[in-house]
Formats: sequence, C-alpha cells, structure tokens
Amino acid sequence: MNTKNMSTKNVNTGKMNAEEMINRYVNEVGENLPGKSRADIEMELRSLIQDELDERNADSNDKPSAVVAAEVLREFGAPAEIAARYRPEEVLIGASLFPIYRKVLTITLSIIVVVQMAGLLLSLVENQSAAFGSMVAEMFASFWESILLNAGIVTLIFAIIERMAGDSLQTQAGKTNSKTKSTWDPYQLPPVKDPDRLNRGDLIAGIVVSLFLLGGLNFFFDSIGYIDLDAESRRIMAFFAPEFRQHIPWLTTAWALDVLLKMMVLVQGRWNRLTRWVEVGLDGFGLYVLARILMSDVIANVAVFTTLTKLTIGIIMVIVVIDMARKLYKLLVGRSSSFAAIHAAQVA
Amino acid sequence: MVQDDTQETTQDKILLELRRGVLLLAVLSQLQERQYGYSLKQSLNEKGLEINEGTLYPLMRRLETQGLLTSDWQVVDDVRPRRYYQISAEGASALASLTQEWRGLVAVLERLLENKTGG
Repeated sequence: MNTKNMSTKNVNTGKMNAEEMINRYVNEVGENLPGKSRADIEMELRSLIQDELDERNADSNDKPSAVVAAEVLREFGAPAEIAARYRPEEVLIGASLFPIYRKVLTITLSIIVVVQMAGLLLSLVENQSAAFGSMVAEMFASFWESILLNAGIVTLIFAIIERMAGDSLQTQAGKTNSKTKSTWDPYQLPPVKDPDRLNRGDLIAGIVVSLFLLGGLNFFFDSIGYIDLDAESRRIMAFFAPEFRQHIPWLTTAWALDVLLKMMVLVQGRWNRLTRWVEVGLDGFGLYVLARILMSDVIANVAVFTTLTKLTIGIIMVIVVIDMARKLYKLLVGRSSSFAAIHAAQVA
Repeated sequence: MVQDDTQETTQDKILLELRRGVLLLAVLSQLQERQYGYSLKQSLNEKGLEINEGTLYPLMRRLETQGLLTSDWQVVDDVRPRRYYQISAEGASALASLTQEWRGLVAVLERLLENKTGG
C-alpha cells in the first residue's frame, strides 16, 4: 500500500484522531459496497478494527492514538481494495452467455460493415462530381457511429439477459455439463476440419459457372436480356448496353484464370500455399475488373438496371474484400493446420 | 528489471491462488468452535498461518453467504457489537470432503516433489 499517497491526499491529517480516521475509513469502504449489505459490513468492519486496536493498546489506559489506528488500517488495506473483496463477483456478461454474445456481435457488425461499404461505393458512383474527401469522411463518421451504437445495443440486451436470467443460465449450463459427462461418446466426435481439403463438388461447380458466364458473355452477348412482351415481334431486349463490351476481355481473363486455377487444384488433389496465394491474387484481379465496371457510366440499356447492377457489384466487392482479408490473414499469420503438417511430413 | 518485476507479480499471483483454497480449509477447520473475526485470526496466527485482515474477514463473510458458516451478532461489555461465526452442517460436510481431498493431494504432491528434487 502506498502510504506516501495516503498522507498527502487527506486533508487535516494532523488534527485527525483515531475515531475520526476509522469513521472515514469505514465510510470510504461503504461507498464502494452495494446498498443492501453496506450497513452490515460497515458495522462488522468497525467491530473488527476496534478489536485490533484494543489488542495493540492493551498496555495503555489512554485511547488508541491516530498513529496506531493508521497502522491497523494500513494492514486492512486500501478502502477500495477491501470493498472489492467484500463485494460479490459481478460480470456484465457471464461465461454461459459470452459465446452467443460474441457470435451475435460478430454477425451484427459484419452486416453493418457490408451495408455501409456498399453504400459508400454506390454514393461514390452516383455522385462522382461531389468532393470525394468529404464524402468519405462523412461515411467514415457514420460508419463508426453505427458500429458503436449497434455494439452498444447488442451489449445492453445481453447485459439485461444476464441480469434477469444469469443464475438460471449457469444452472442450465451445469446441468448440460453433467448430462454431457454421462452421455458423451468419443465415437461420435465430428471429424477435424481440414482447411486445405479439396471439396471437389464446389470446385467443379465453380468451374462450370465460370465457363457458363464466359461463354454466355462472349458468344451470346445480345441474347442476354428479357423478352419485350409489348412489341409485336416479341423480340429479346438486350440487358447489357453496347458500352459494356469493353469489359468482356477483362471478365474473360478473370474467369479463364479462375478455371485454370481450379483445374490445377483438382489435379493436385488439395490446396497448398502457392495455390492459395494465386487464389488471393485472382481475387484482387477480379476486384480490379469489378471496379472498372463500377466506374463506367452505362452498364445496362435501362438506367435503373445500371443502378441495380452497380449496387449488386458493390455488395459483391465488399464480400470479396472481406474474404480476401480473411484468406490473407490465414496465409500471413494463421497457424498451419495439423493436417497440412501431417501431409507435408508424408510428402517428405 | 521489468522482467524481474513481471516474474515477481506472476509468482505473487500463483502463490495467492495456491493459498486461496488452502485458507478456506484452514478457516473451516478452526470454526468448529464459535469465534469472532479477530479471535480466529489470532488462532490461525498462533498455529503458524499468517493471514491478512483484508483477506480473512471478507472470506468469512463469503463462506457465510455460501452457507458453509453461520453467524450472529452479540453485544460484548454492553457496548460493543461483535459478529460470531461457526461452521454449519453443510460446512462440516464440506470440511470432511476437503480434508480427505487435501490429505490425498498432499500425499501425491509429496511424491511428485520428491521425484522432482531427487532427480
């Protein structure tokens, strides 16, 4: 305990007697205690301090001095410290609720990030004449406001649930644990997820989709659209404006490279570090192509479809950025999986 | 220097954790007879267990909240209220279990630590 601070912080220390010092100490401890137990703990504390003082002053007929009182109080500890020991343990969100709280918070904040970034992209496209800097600053401020507000609301809701039902949740968790102990079966354990394991179905589906898009855009550009029912000939109205043709070589390159990568992975049998890096690189290239489309003036023959397509592209770009960040994090700082280590050892 | 301080703090924490469970057992063992806070502290001190007031008194109160101790106020010398504590039936049962567990643990740890120091 820092006695130097104590002596300089208090006023009128020279004139204070033992009784006054104890009163102040007990009051200070009480200030940090919940109301319902405060009076009882204060009375007990006063009684305990008095017992200590009596023992030390047993040989004297005088009342205990402030020096002796100060010595006793220092041994008891700082008021805030001793009050903390008397207080029941309090948590905002307990261990039973915390995993669900974290999951809900992550989902909520992810949705806000996606929506806000899509909004920013759309605003940038729609208001190209406006001052870029001030628009980004405004969106950034609104972004943080939403994040803090929503995180606060989620936390508040969980704190209320904890306060209303915290004890019963812990009891439920205890019951579940004891039940789990008796019914748990090692043979029913789920397999360990191997991040580098090949999902052939997903890869083949990805290749088919890329080829389909590639062929459609290159060979049936004017046939992608809708049938105009009002016209007598019921002809097909092309969705994409002729200006969109400038993007076709870029999109073709992106999809062709994607098909090549997926075929390589299929042949190799599993993902490895190099193919993961190439995948991130292709994601980056895809983002560049999407950004080019986003910045173009016309995409569809109907103006409203241009806006809707840009909004969709904006959302796709946000999702790709988040996915890229996740992949990069795994590549740069993530631990290699035990599967990868075993596989590497087997190959060696 | 900073590393030394950190190491000291970590060791302090470990020691505190080790003592926490032991103190509970010590307090329960001494409250088979009715005692007030200061007398319990003296009793533990005399038997070689040094314990700080700021640790002991809140612990007694916590054990009472958990139902392991009972307490009542008594006015001494017509002026001084004093709170007396005694082990409850639940506390006695817990003490029996804890004592058995403690003896088993001591025996095992003695063997483990002997192996460690004996190489």
